[in-house]
Amino acid sequence: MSSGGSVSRSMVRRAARLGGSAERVVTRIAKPARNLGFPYRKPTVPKGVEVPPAPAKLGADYDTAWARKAPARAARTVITRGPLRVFTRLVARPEVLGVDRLDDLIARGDDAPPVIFTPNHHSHLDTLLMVEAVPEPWRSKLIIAAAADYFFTTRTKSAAAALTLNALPIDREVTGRKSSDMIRGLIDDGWSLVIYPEGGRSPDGWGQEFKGGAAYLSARTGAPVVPVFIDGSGAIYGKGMKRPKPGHTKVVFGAALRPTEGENTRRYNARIEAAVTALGDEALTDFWTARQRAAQGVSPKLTGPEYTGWRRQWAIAEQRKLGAAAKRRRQKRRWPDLG
Amino acid sequence: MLEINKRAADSDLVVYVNINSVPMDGGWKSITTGLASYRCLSVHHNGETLQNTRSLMGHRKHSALHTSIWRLGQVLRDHGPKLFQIETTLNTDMFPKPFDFISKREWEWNAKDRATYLATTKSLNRMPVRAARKIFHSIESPHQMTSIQAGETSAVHERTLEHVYRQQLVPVEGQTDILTLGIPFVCPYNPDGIMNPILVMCMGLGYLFNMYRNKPLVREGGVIIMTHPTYREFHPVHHPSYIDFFEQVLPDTTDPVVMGHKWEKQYAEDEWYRHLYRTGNAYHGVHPFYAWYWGAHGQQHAGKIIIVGGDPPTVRRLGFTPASTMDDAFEIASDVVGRAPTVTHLHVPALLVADVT
Repeated sequence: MSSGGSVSRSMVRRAARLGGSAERVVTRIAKPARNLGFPYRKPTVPKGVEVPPAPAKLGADYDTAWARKAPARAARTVITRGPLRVFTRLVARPEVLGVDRLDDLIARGDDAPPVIFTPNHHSHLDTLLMVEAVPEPWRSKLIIAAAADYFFTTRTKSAAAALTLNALPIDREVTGRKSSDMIRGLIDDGWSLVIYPEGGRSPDGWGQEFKGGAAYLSARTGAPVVPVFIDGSGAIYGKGMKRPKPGHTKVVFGAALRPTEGENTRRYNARIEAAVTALGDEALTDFWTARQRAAQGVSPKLTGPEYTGWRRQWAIAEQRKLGAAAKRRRQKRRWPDLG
Repeated sequence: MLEINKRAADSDLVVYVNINSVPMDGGWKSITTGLASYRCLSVHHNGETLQNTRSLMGHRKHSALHTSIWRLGQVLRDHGPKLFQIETTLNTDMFPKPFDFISKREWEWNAKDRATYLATTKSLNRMPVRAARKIFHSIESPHQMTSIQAGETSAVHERTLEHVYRQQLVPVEGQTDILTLGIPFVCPYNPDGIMNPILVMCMGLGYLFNMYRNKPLVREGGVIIMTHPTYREFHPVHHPSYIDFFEQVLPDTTDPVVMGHKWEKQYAEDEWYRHLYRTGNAYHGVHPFYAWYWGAHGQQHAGKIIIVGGDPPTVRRLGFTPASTMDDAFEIASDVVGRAPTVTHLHVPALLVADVT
């Protein structure tokens, strides 16, 4: 009887101990977060202290150096050769032409020099198409000049752009010395650059005038410019479209250009624009016709006819019939069911 | 009396290279203390001189120590070897990542800083003190050089001071009733060693209290509150005489002048300490006295000195008041400075000199 009583007492004591420790744990966990001050919560600023504005870390000031290090490059290879490639091929079905024109850039026994690719710009897809179409050895050391005010506005967006596309923030209004010095440094380190001389996607399907950034960088670094024309991306996912409409695209590479002796940046830029225009003509017609028209100076302008309003829209529809966009299967018309 | 190392005195040219971490360093102090004998040092490194040194980091005329040293410098210039002084200054970047949050003001800490702080303190609290010390002593500061001056000692030093002040001077309006100081784990005398209680006093009252120009941060008769664990621990190899100083001298007196007259010579000329100093890695036998003298002005200036978080008997041995928390310390301080005192905190790191007007 007595031994049974001592057993039950010890069990009660043990249970009480267990209960006590459980209670302590629960109390600790359930302690309201509001009771926790600094350093669990943000510090308060002492009275009279003026907090200086934090240095900008986004936009053109976003540091992308990490994205060019080995781990990020490995991750990018997986991403671009995996899901991005599948997506690009499914949505844009690119046909890549003119890659053989880049062969001249590599002298026998030498490494490939860094180059500046200058495609026209109609869609976000253009970057994916360039990543897909640029041949090795340039593809593995490719940086994309991306608008700082669009791709680098938040940390997540910036990190995603830097990681997946190796994007570099560029201020499209004023390219500061910092940006241009950084790009020059990267080109000197052997990185090739994709820069859209139009400065942004086409607002209406026609091209825009080329800005001088690519010509300036080429003149300063000595890297040749490779003109590129992308056809059909605007019809798939142009500016203002909510979702992509799968279709066909064509990426045409041109022969590399170099600044000639005494040529200023403006003239060099005009030559780059003319080369892309000629490639555009080639993409819509054929090599021979495009060459003849380029020689006569009558290549259809990238910026479209001088009309305004609906006639420009009409003209773009006519032009698209000639290009890759015309290959799209006609979508089933959806008329409202009026009963 | 001026007596310097024989090798230097006999040289055709002495090239002295110095890093001026604080304005107190450099100039004639480099050679007349760095290469001087005990007999020469004892003339100005004593309780009376340091009590009259009203500004170690500020104007030279306010410092009895520097006045004496500059006098010796004139003698050295006229009668000593040719000197070529090279002085350098560093920036205040003391902690590399991930410990760089220590150098920031707490209100500037972002979420990452706070998380790193929590992780650091929680893990340090759970590890043996020895391991924690090892971690902190193994941190290499990412300092970078901000200037280098070379040439004639006085001219070089003036330029060096300009650079140091440009970097470290912080304007502060008015003195305060209570000065709070966080004492770090390291001072100039314990790299790879233990910050013993005497060095805690030296760091708090000798260095941090003296980080001012014009007037001390705390008013005369004000309270200094320091935070430090103040263990009764000593490095037997580096600080052998500190152990005896703590056990023999401090129970007798904490007055720098009294201890100087009564005990200093005995420690300075002790054969065993000399042997350890010359053949081992020990500081000189007189070093704890000099460390103690360094705080002489602060000790005299403050109405009360409180150490928060220290070992109470050890803190009492130093002549200070122990407190377990900051709230307790403020409560104790209220006896001296009343119920509504002004409080100034000197944030360490980084190194700064308060220009008190």
